Amino acid sequence: MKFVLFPLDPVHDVALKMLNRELLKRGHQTILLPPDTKMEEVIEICQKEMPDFIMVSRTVGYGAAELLARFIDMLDAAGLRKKCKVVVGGKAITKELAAELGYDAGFGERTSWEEVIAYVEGGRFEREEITVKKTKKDITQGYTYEVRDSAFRELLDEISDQILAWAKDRTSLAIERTKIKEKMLEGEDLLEEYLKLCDEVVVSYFRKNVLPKKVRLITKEEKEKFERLVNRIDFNERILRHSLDKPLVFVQYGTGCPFMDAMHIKVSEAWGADGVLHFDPSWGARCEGLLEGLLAHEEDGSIITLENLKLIKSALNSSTLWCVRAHRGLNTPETVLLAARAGADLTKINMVYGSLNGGTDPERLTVDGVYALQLSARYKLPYDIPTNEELGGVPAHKAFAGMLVVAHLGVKLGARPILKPLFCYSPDVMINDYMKDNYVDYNVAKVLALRRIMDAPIWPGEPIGFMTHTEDRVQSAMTTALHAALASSLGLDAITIASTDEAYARGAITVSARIDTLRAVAEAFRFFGRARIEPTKKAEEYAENIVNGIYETLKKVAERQDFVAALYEGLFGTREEGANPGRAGRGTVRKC
Amino acid sequence: MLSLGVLGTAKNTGKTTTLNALLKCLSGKSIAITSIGFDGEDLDHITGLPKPKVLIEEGSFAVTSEEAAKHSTARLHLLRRFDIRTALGSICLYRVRQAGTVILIGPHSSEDLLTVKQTLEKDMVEVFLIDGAINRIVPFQHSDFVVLAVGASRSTNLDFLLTETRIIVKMLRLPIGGKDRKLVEGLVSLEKLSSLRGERILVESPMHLLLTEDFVRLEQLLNDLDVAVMRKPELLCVTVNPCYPERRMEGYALARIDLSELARRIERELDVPCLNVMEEEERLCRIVVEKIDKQG
Repeated sequence: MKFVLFPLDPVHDVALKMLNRELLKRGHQTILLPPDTKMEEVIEICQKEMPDFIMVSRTVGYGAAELLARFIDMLDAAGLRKKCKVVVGGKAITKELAAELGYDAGFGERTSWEEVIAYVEGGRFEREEITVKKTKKDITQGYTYEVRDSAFRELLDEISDQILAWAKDRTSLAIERTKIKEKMLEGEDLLEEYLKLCDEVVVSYFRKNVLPKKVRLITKEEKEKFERLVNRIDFNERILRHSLDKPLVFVQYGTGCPFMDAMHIKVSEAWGADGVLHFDPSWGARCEGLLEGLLAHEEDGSIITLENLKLIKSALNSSTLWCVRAHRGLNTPETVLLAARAGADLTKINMVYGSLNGGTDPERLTVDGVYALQLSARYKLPYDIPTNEELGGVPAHKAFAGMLVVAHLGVKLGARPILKPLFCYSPDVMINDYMKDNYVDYNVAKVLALRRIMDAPIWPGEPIGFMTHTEDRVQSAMTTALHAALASSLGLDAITIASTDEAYARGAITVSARIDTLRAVAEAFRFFGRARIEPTKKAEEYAENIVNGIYETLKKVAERQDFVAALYEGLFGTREEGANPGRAGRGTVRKC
Repeated sequence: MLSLGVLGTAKNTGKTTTLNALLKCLSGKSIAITSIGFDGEDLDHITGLPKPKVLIEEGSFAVTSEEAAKHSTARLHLLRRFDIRTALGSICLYRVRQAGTVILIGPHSSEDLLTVKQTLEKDMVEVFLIDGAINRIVPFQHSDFVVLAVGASRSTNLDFLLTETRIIVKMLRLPIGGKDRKLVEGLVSLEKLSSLRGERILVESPMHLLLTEDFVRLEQLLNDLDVAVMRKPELLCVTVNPCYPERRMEGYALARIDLSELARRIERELDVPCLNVMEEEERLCRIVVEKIDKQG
C-alpha cells in the first residue's frame, strides 16, 4: 500500500518517522513529508501519488483542531476524501476527536506503531504491553555448585565433613521442637510437649493468653478487611529490567504489621519488584519457641507464625518470589519448616553470620543450621547466605569463607544455596581505602573472587549500596540505582534494594520511598541495557587478595578441625573486627 | 426536501445552539438531523467545557453512527444502514420513537453527505438539518441553505471577525455560472487563482475558494477575476456567539465579550440578518420558517 505521512506541525515528526520505518520494513511504499509542509502542497502531492492512506500527525492544542479540520476540508474539496483513508495521530487525539474532525481513525498518546499497522493493514491488534505476564524464576537454575579449584574443594570438603560428623549425634531444643511441630502440622496434638521446649514468653502465651509486650492479636474483622483490600488491588504487572532477564529485584519488608507489609508488597509489585524478603523482630531470634495466630507487632519486624506467613502469602502475586529469613536465631530450623509450609520460595541460612553478628551461640547455631539446611533440601527451598558481618567490620574474605562453608555444606546435604556478598561501603573498605577512587572495583572484585571459587548464583544484598546511602532521597535512589546497574553489568542473578528512607527512617519506611528506588533502578537498567561498567585494574588486584584471603581463612579453619571452635576463636572474624560470638542458646546443645 | 446546514468559522461559535433553536422553530415539520462531526457530547473533546445537548422530538429522523445511537437517551429505531463508516461505527438512519437527547456522528465528507441527502429525498423528510464540525465548510456545498455561525471563539478582534464574515458572505454570493466559463475543478488555491487573473472561471462551490488562510488576499484576487460557482447554498443569516473558551493555567474557562456592535455592523455593512440565538431565537425562526415555507 502507499502512504503519505504528513506532520501537520512546525517541528514534531518523530512518531511519523518511526511509523515510516515500520511501514517500509513491511514492504509498503511511503512518502514522508518534512514538518511544516504547506497543506496546499500536501494536497497536490496526494493528488499526484493517490495514496491509500494519508497519515497526519499533530500534537493538538486549541486551534489545531481547526487546522486538522481544514485539512480534511481541503481533501474533500480536492475530491480526495473518499479516495484515501485519512488517519490522525497525536498526544491529544482520541477516537471521538477523530470522528469530530472527520478523520477515518485517530490514535492518541501511548499508541504503539503495532496498533497503527494493525489498523492500516486491517489486522487485529492486541494490546500486548498491558498484559505483561511475569513468571516465577528459580534463581539457582543452571548452577552446578562445582568448586572450581581443587585446593578450595579439598578445604571445603574437609570442613563440611567435620561439621557433619560433629552435628550427627547432636541435637537442640530447636531441632526437637521442629520435629514436634512437623507432627503438629500433620494434626497431632503435641502442644504440651512443644511447650516443654519453649521459653516462658511462649508458654504464657499458650497457657495464660498473655501476649508478649507490644504484640496484639489481629481481629477477625481486620482479617476480613485485609482480604477485601487485597482482593480489590489490581494492577498491570511490570518488569523493571530493560533488555536483560537478570537481576531480579527484591525488597525487604517487616513493619511488624502484616497489613502494612501487604500494602508495601503490593506497591512494590506494582512498581516491578520481583521478590520480597520477610524480616522478623530481633527478639524472635532470642526466644525459644514460636507463637501461633495472627499477630501484629508495634515495632520493627513481622512476627513469624504460620498464620501470619499465610496471610502475607495470600497477598502475594503468583509471580512474586518470597524469602522468609531463618538464619540467625534460636528458631532457625522451625522457621524453615513454617516458611516451606506457608509456601515460601526461599529462605535464609548462615550460621557464621548468625553466630558472629546475630547474637546466637555458635555451637547452637551450627547444630540448628545443619538441620535447617537439611529441611531446606527436603522442602526444595533454596537458601541465600547473607554476609552482613562485613558491616560490623569483618573483612570480606573472612565473611566469604564462612559463606562458602555454609554453601558447600548445603550442597552436600542436597540444598541449593545462593551467595550473597554485600555491595557496600564497609568499615574494612573504609579503613583500607579500597573505595578511595570508586565504588566499582571492590564490589566487582568480590564477585570475581566468588565466581573463581564456586559456580553458584550470586545475589548482592542486603540491601545493595549499604552505607553509601544518606538521608537525601535523590542521593539514596541514585546510589541504589548505580549499584543495581553494576549488578546488572556483572550479570548477577538478583539484588535486594532499600527504599530511599530505609537507612534513615526514624519510624516505618514510607511507600513513596520504595517507589523512588524501584523507579530509579528501572531507569538505571534502561540506561545501561547490555552496556557494561568497566572496572579499573584495581578490581583484579582486589579479587586476587580476596581469593587468597578466603583460602588462608579456610586453611586455618580446616587445620583447626573444629568449625565451632573456629567460630569462637575468631577465625571467621575477630572481636576486634566486630565479630562477637553470640550467647543466646549457649550450652543448650545435647548429645543424642 | 430542503437541506439546511449550520456552518461555523471555528469550534464553539454556537453551531449546536443554533441547531437546537432550529429544531424548535421547525418542530411541526418532518425533520431529519445529522452532524458532519460529533454533536451532543457532554464535554468538549479539547477544552473539557460542557457542550449543549441535542434534543430531538418523537417522529423525527436522526442520521448517526451505531455507537453514537447507543449513547443517546432518545429511543431510536433503526431504519437503514448506510455504507459509510466513521471512527465510531457505521452511519445509520433512525426514527425517534421517544424524545430525548441524541449524539450525532454523521457523514463527514461531501460525497457521503450527498449520498445521505439523496436517500432522504425518498423518505418523508421535509427539512434535513446538518450541523457543522469545527470550522468545516466543504460538505455544505450540497446544502440548499446555510446559517453561518461566527463568534468570539474564532477571535476576540471585532475587525477581524467582520472582515472574515464579509469575505465568506461575498463568496456565498458569487453567481451560479454556466459551461461557457473555464472550469477549475477541485481545491482552488491562491496560487491557482493568481495564475488565472483576468479570466472568466467556474469553480465548484464557494467552499472550494474559502480554504485559504489568507482571506484578505483572496478578496483582492477576486477583484481581478470573474468567478462563478457551479453550486452553492443560500445564506439565510449569520449568528454570533459572544462566549468563548479562554485558556487558563489549567484547562479552559468560559469567557464572554460584547458582540452586539459586530452584529449591527454585519447587518448594516453586509446586508444580511445577524443575530444572537440566545436572545433572538424568535427572529431566527421567522427568517428560517419564512424561507422554507416559501421554497417548500
